Amino acid sequence: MTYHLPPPASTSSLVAWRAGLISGLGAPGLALIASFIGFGALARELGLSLPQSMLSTVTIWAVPGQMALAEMQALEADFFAIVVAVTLINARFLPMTLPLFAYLGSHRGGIARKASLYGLGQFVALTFWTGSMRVMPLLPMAQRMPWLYGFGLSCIGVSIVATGVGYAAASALPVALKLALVFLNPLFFLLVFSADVKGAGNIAAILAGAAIGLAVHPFWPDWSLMAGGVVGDSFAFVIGEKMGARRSKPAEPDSREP
Amino acid sequence: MDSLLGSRDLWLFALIVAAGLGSYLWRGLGVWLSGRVTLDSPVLRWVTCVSYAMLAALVARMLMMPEGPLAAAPLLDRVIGCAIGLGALFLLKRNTLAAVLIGAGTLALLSVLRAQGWL
Repeated sequence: MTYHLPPPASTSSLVAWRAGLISGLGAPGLALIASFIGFGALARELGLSLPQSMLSTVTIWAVPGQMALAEMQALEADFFAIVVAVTLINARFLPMTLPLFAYLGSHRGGIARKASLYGLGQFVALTFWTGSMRVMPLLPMAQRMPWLYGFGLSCIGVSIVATGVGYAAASALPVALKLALVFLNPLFFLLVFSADVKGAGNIAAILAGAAIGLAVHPFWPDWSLMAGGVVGDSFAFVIGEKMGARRSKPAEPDSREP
Repeated sequence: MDSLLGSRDLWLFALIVAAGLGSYLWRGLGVWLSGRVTLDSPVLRWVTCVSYAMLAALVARMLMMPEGPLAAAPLLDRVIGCAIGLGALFLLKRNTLAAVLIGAGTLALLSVLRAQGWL
């Protein structure tokens, strides 16, 4: 078991919070470290400052969006074009947030309850989501929110430090290793696409997105990602729906109540 | 001291905050909608597909037409690095982290060999 759980009988939020915090320092932390060291190095090479690189880890909090921002600002793209690109590339957070927050029960409650739910929303990103979806069914309702806060804080904390380490390493390392660092993230997502993505629609979306993005880029660099994303996707989406291929459904929470 | 925060710096900070707000839009909307909509709606599937297709466009561009130091590595080396990474992924029973390190290591090795004049 990679994740730490509080003892089931414990009613202390602090114990649950600490268990979440420790969970973020295990295997999930390792993946984040590799990924954000790569991003830190890339950000420096593309001209962001150290505080800017680290701030993007807090605000955008997902490597694909951060890579898009770093790349597009280096190409001197338009402010608005970059914001739209990062926003759309992070659209997958919507379908990820839904099943995770279903585990937290009713949203009813005062301002404090609402603030803690919406605050927690900021943590949603791939590594946090995968770990949380695995752990939520194992915890009683009262321990879920504090565990998620602990896990989210250590995930982001580890990643901020890794961003700084990658940034510093980019200038200190020999060229060959620097090359390997900036290669980490694009290669990682290529491999994830090859290994994990299921469903005719999603596969078509990836191939069409890549092809259209590459074809449009030389003529229309600011908007090539959007062209690849929206045009390629809509085309692929129709194919997926027409073929009646059922995508692997996002996991529904098996029990919403403890 | 007057150029401590040049206008390009401020522009970038504003950009990073604005892009963060744009990203939070989906997260906040997800929190608001959780428990109110079903997961298997066509709109949600379309939104997920946009995200995948844009990420694919970004990754394809970063590997084929990169900015920064990757541009200095020949296209052939980048393709070999990807191919070795993919091969490792399937040989290592889908251990992504190890496969990524092997693929990136390959690119570094090729770069050293070229610098030494052995390639």
